[in-house]
Amino acid sequence: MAESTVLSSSAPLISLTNVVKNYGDTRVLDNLSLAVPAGQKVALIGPSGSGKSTILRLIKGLETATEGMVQVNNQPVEKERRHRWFSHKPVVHEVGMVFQHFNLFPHLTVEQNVMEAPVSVLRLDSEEARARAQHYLSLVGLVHKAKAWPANLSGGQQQRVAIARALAMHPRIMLFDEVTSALDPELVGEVLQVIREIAHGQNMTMLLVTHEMSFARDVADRVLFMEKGIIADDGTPDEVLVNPTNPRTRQFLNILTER
Amino acid sequence: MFDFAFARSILPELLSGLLVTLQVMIAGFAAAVLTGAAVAILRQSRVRLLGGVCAAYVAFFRQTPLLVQLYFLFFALPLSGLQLPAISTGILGLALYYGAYIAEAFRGAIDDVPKGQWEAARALDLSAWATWRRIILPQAMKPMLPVLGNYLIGMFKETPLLAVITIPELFQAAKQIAGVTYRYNEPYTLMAVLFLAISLPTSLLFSVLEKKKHHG
Repeated sequence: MAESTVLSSSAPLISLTNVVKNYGDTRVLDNLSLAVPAGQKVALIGPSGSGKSTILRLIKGLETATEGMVQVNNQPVEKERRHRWFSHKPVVHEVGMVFQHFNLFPHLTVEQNVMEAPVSVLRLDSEEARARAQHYLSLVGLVHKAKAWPANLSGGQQQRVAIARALAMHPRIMLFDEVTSALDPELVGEVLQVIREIAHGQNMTMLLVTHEMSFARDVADRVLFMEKGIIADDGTPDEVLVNPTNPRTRQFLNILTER
Repeated sequence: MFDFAFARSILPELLSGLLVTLQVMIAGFAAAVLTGAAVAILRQSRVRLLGGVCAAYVAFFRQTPLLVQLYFLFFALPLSGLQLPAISTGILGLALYYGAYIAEAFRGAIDDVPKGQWEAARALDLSAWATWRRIILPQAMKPMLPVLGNYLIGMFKETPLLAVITIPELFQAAKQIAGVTYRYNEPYTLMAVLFLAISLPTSLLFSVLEKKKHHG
């Protein structure tokens, strides 16, 4: 099987198998399995603490599973997670991630933020990396801020830079972890618009943890409703968001719209 | 009476003492910063033993007097076969002593770098080395700058201790002139002025640097 899976298009790009994740005594993921084929856009919704973000963090290798297996492109993530001290040769970068709090490097300019990993990980020379930074900064509409410091940008602009920074590594998978939750309401739209364009324009695999239901319906071709560490509902946006049959999903969506 | 002619005649000797002081100080400080940074980084290591050794080093060198350490390095260590020139011993002593203090300060500064910075570096697949060098240490350096300035000046003011291990630095030079000529006023006054002439501009330099950093 190991030989055939590399070429087989039916093999999922991301797979979680019987994953358990505990933080101390708290069980965040409870024997969860999930397979995401290449190119799929998956929205994860559900109450806070239901384990949505933990799934993304496991896929990026920011956490390790207590039990079970997390694989990206048929490689266990745990193995890749072992931190390399030096990287002499370019690393295959599969997974990009954007965080709720942007996490831009405050001591680097916008352009340097985007160039850092292409130079240090992909070993591009600085001219190539700068061209790449220009490309992705213009994609998020911020090429005019290339020389600015992150602290002088609005939250929405910072998050767009963070998206450009992740895209500049040419990941096959992009993880968006509540990327608009820390933003003032009037700045949410510009960030969602950028993600929408990426989702519609590129054959990229995407997982998005979000509380924006109309955005989820717009971007995702699959929606997971999570509750208490399990996937309680799994289907197309129409099935999960428009005509939910699962009573728990319906209840959750009602609470959201009542707010 | 302060005899200016005599003062001028002993100035070259004092200046060559000052030169030795500065050499030891600069080399010692550079080594102390490197030691401090290395120890602070190693203390974060997941290898328990490494962290323990670093903690023991910090505790030992912070809890014993510099003078005692210098005596030990210069007089006791050669008995176990490690014979170093006085100047190297002095540099080593300053590096180890101040390295321990700087390591503790670095540790605090590193802890203050937000966790999100580590995660962002990790998400971009930066190696551990690149994460330290390009992301964490530059941010930790910012609050470290005034601290390092204080330690540099502190170290400079401790250099007279090096006289006890026969290093011909400024204090030693002044003492020798006084011992030979029985004139104390000129050599000791000049010595004090020379110390001030170095430490005052240095402290000003660091406060300017700090202000610059705030704007950058």
